[in-house]
Order: sequence, then structure tokens, then C-alpha cells
Amino acid sequence: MKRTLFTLALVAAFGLITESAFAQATATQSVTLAVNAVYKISTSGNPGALTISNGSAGSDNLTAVSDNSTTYSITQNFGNTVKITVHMDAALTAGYTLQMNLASTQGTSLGNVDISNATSGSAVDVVTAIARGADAGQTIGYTFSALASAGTLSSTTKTVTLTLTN
Amino acid sequence: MPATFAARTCNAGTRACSLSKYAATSREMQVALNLDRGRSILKPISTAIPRTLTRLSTYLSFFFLLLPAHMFAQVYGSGNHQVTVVVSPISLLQVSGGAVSFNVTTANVVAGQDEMSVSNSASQLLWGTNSGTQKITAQTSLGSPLFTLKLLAVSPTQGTAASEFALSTTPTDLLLNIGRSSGTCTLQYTAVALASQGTGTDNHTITFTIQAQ
Repeated sequence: MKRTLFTLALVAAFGLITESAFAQATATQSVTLAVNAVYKISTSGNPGALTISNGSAGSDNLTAVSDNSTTYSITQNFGNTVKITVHMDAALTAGYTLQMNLASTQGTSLGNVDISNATSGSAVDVVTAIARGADAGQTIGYTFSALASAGTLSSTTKTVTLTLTN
Repeated sequence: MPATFAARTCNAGTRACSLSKYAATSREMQVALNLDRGRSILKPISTAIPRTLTRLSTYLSFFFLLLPAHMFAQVYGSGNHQVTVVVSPISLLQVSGGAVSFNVTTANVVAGQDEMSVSNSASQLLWGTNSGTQKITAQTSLGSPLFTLKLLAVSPTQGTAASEFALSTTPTDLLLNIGRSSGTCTLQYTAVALASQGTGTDNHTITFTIQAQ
């Protein structure tokens, strides 16, 4: 009698285990995630007009003017050798100088860089060795200087292009 | 309409008889006819009863002959048995929409932000269970992913969606409080990559499991 009861209990227990096993179900799905090389740079807007209207008596160098009102932001995941180059759509006339100075926390700023003659074929580096990641709201500084001997310059607009490259 | 009969009434003492007319009912007509034939009123009734019984027995014989034979089947014995029916706990789970593929490109990036994210809600999870309170968990097969893959159950028709979570090799609750029912929800995957993490590819196999809560 005891053996029969034990057998019945064992059968019942196996029954419960089987039911529990059937109570669970699974399904699978494949998800592939690819991150490509990303370069992104943007500027906050245009600086104000850079107008020279002063000089020092006895000096050919007129008083330079600056603008630090704009910023740039970058995001890149390519590597740690990325840099920013700058060029203009057209070079300035001799006797006038336009310099740029880009601040950076992710890379190395080259300080004031003369871009007066930098065109698409002769872009100049302004920030180098930028690490992977993002750098937001970094200041763009412009300094415009002129020689008195170069004469006056009517209002001239230049398009400055910042390029994030490796 | 009652018929009119002539009735003769006789006095036993004087032996004088008289004739009278009256309108008789059908019963009285029978009596009158019997009297008129000089027979006792009791005689036709006493002979009618056996005749009626004979007819009745004939009719009953025909009636029983027309009845189905099984109505007269004899019960020689009976038996019974027990039927046991079982519905086991059943849970079903299916993913529709096929494989999911993410591609983070420059178009998904905002300059100045290290985090780059892209979402996909093209697939659905379908389930059915006849068990009590159940839950659905999700886990990935990829032990060391380069990037973060988050999952959220959107608009479940049954149960409660858990908060969005990053997939790992540990099963994490996706849906809770699923009762005996069938339902669906949209699977919203969000891939999060940091620019500082560089480029690369992660291949996940996501396993969904429905089980007791």
C-alpha cells in the first residue's frame, strides 16, 4: 500500500514538472547594430562685420578688430587623428589679413592661424589631433588687420568653410 | 334538432293507455326506440361494453405493433466509465517583422553630442497563454556588446509594459501581469552609440521568454 502511494506521488510530481515545462515558451529575433564612421561639424552663425576704423600715428599697421561671437561643435567617431581645416571661397587682397583661432577641448588648437590666402585647394589646419567624441560650443575667434598702405577696402563678404577631416 | 315522438303511457291498474307527443333528446330517442322495439333499455348497453372493449383491444394491438421495437427492449445490465480530460498549461510566443538592422550614420548625429541613437519599431511580439499571471522577459546572446541596445514594449494589448531597459545576457522583464489571454505589443529597439566608442558592429540574438511571474 505504501509503495503504491509512493508511486502515485511520484507520477503526480512528474506530471507537475511536465506542465511547468510546457508553461514556458520562447521566441528569438536577430538584431544587428552597425555604427559607421561619423563626422559632423556645425557653426552657430555668422560673426559681425569686422570693420577697421582706427590706427596709430606713425604705424602702417592699423588697429586690428576681433570677433568671438560664434562657436562650432563637432562629433566624430573615426579616430584620434582627426583635424579641422579652414579655407575661404577667395583669398584676400594683399595688405589685409584674416586670422582664425578655434578653441578645442578634444584636440590641439593651433592658435591664431592666418587664413587670408586659404582657398579650397590650400586649406589650413586650425585644430589637430581631435579625439573620438564630441566637442560642443567651442569659440571661433576672428581677427582682421590691415596695413594703411593697402588702402581702404569696401565691404567684402567671404565664406569661411570649416572641415572635419582625417 | 330534437325529434318528435309519440309516447304511449299505460296504467297498470286500469290497463288504459294514452298516446302523447313530445320532443325527445338523442338519449331519449335511443330509449324510445328501444322501448318501441320492445327490448329492455339495459340490454343494448350490456352488449355494447364488450364490443367496445373488443374494438379497443384491436386498436391497441395495432398501436403496439406500430411502436418501435426498441421501446420494448429489455435492460439486461448497465455499465459506466470515467473520462478524464486535461488541458495542460500552454504558452506561445512569436516575433513578427523579421530581423532588425540598425545603421548609425552621420544623418543620425547632432554635432557636439557624443551620444548617437536610432530607433526601430518595425517588429511585434505576439503571445498567448492559458496560465495564470505570466511575464515576458528578454535577453541578448551578446555578452560584450560595443554599443547599448535598449528595448521597450509599446502599447501592449494585455499586461503592463516594464520600463525601457538595456539588453544584457540576464533576462529582464519586458511585460508583466499577463493573464489568460493573447496579446501583442510593438517592440521598440533603440540603439545608443557614443561617438567616443568609435565604429563597429554588434550582432544580437534576442530571446523572449514567457513564464510564470
